[in-house]
Amino acid sequence: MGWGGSGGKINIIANNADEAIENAFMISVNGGKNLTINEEFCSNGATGTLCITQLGRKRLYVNGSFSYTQSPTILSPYQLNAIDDIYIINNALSSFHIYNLNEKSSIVYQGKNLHIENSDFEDFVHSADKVFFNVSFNMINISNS
Amino acid sequence: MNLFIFFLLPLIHSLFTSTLVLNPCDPDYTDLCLINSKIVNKDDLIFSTKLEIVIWFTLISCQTVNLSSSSKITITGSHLNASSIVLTANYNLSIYDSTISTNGTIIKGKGYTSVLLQGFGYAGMGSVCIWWEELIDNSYGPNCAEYIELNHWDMNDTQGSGGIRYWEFGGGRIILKATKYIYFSNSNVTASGYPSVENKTLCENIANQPYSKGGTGGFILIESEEIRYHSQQKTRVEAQGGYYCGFFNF
Repeated sequence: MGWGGSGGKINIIANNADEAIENAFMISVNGGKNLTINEEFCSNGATGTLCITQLGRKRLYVNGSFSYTQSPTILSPYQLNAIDDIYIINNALSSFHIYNLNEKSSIVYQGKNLHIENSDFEDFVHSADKVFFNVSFNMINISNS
Repeated sequence: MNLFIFFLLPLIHSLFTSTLVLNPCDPDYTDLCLINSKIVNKDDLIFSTKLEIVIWFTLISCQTVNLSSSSKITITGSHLNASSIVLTANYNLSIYDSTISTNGTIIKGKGYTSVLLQGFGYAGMGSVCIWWEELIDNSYGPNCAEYIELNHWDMNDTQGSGGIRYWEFGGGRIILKATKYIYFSNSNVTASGYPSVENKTLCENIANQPYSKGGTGGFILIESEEIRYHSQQKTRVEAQGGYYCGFFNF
């Protein structure tokens, strides 16, 4: 069996990061594709993540991960603490986890904004308890085009 | 004794002096650190200078590249390949018509293992793990990507594929930092895992390998107060996962 490799991570930190991503770069963090015909046992790799920090505000994009459940983008709580906005786009929910390194921890992470775009929110609700440990969000914004 | 004083001593002195003069980054002898000749070896290329570093139409291929300037770094028409590339400029970093590329080939140090199916790799480092429930500290693989601030790592840490199979190499690490600005024009900054889909010959060669996996995409950090760019000459910034081109084969 085999899998394509997961996409990597790209961090862009600049006062004009948005403008640069629009005009200066062609960015790709795609997972590697499975080029075989045996789809049952082989899978594409999960899409990687893009993190943008502009004027002190950090956003994390988890975009369009492929379906294989063993390919999570894992975010540990201390990393979550540094991120203000989380964008989950194009059905990346099944591959997005916040992995609690210490499950006995009672720390509650607050003040985060969660944006879900073009994703199956039903699926998210069912898995939310497992996905997010002690996290409360300021705002959850759902949009589907 | 006289022979030593009159002949050998001046010769030894001249050799020593020549060595100093040949160092392109010695501020006592030059005001510019110019690298325009090919550097290809398996060692690390690491230095820090208060001079401006200019890399001019050349090839640098080493295990790790870590260059730091208190002034500027300018790269033109060049190719830099390594497992880890760290470029730090105190003023600005400019990249024209160049390729900065890493893959996670590790030959020594932290992260190295010769175990075929179990490896080492933080996010973007590429390695192999079987099921994510089995993860232990630092043991993430191509199916187990973690977002992590690798830029806070010790710059001398190596990273890359935990496996020994070259088609599973991860993407390595690229860190580009400048205090004032970073300028990009018509360049490639790539930290993609192996194999690339473009490499069809490689895919055909490894097609019958069991348990084959593409390497994880790498980690790229671009950090500065401002990013400047040539609006008509975009730069590709890529940290893709490697492709799987084998067949199911228990």
